[in-house]
Amino acid sequence: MNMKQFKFRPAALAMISGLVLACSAVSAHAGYYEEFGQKQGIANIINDFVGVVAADNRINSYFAHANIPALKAALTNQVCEALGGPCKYTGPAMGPLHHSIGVTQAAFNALTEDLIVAMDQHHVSVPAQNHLIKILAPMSSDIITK
Amino acid sequence: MNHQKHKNDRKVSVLNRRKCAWGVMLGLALSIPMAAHADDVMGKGRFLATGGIQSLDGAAGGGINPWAVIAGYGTDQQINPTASFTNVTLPDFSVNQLAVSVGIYNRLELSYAYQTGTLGSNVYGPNGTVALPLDGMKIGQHIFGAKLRLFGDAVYNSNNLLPQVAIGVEYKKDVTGGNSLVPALQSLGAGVEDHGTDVYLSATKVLIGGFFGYNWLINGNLRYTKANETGLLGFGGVNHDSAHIKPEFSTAVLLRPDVAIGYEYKGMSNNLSDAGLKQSSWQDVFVAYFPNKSVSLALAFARLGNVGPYTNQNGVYLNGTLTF
Repeated sequence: MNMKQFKFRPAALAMISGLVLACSAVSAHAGYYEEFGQKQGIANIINDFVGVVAADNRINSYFAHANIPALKAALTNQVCEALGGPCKYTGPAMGPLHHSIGVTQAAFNALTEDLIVAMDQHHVSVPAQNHLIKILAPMSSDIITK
Repeated sequence: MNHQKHKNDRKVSVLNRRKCAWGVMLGLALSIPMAAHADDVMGKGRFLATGGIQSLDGAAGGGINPWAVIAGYGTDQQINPTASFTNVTLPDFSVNQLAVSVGIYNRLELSYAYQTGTLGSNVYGPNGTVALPLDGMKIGQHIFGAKLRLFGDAVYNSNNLLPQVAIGVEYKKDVTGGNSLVPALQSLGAGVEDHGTDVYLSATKVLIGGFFGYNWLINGNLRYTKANETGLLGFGGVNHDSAHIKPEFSTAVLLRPDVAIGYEYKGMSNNLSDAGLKQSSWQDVFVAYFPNKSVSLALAFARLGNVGPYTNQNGVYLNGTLTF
């Protein structure tokens, strides 16, 4: 899929970024922020993650009109914040937007699997991956609406 | 002309269909994540390994114990069939199992397993004479199973300890007849029946990063059963023919999303002790590999201990499970 086809769509951004917003209540683990390569390392992972999602026919239709640079920046800030880094997510609010998208459990899980693919590509250790996934998993009840 | 061509096409297609059926099935099973949309009813929307493997009763679980998980990878909107082959090779006998199941909407699992085996040695008395002429006797049973997820999700709710809980029922019937062990036990007056029904309650929890950063599965079952060696030696026995509640326990650590190592314990009732046949609990340590959501392979070292007439039945367990 040609990435230039993507245009900004707040709902799509909300779904994907909603994955990583669970974070505020979870205590940070400084070691894992370092292991992800700090903000630059996270940005590299997110860059590849969005590429994996764009190539994933199971879910890429959700992002057909997304603004890719904005999506990458928002996700980077969210993961950075989730891992205890000095970042702040400032994008659109999550809750109401998810209802309009109708995210299934299968779609949520597919997105998580794509994140794992990206983390594997960057040799993030299994415990570090699990740390991030554990932060993200409780959000499923807010995001899966269909 | 057209009609004739049609007929020929059909002939070829019927021939090819037979030839190709297995190839196509295998190809389907091995093909890696489809280009299908996430919400397809035959999609595999749950995470890798969360369907366990098809255990030695046809239910999704760890190999010898069912878990509360539903077979396959279907979400609440998906249906996945599975099929498997299992071989357990022990010093004095072996068991093969062919099994199929279907997981429906991550709620209900229906399964069927066909187990057969052959006893490989006689039991000798103290003076070297054959006490029990078992060599060559058959064992085997049908197992029809159903499992209903009652509540919870093993993987989600990772911020609390609420497990996934399921109730299961298994109807088992001896298939051998004739020159086989269960009728032989019956003729010895051991009082065993050739069929029985188990009911079990199962709870499964995956603790994300719970084992030194690695995902950790814990499962516990309580099984109400009259079965001897899961039913391979019939059901009930002299003076011990009431049903018992037996505990089962499994645990596994995912070293990677696609590799699990684990341990299982399966309590056995001892209905046949008055007939001079001892039974001990089963245990195994296993490694399972899930290269994708279509196939898994498991290898275990199984310690079955005393199995009816035989002692020290410790051997190798192999399982291959396909998810369609």
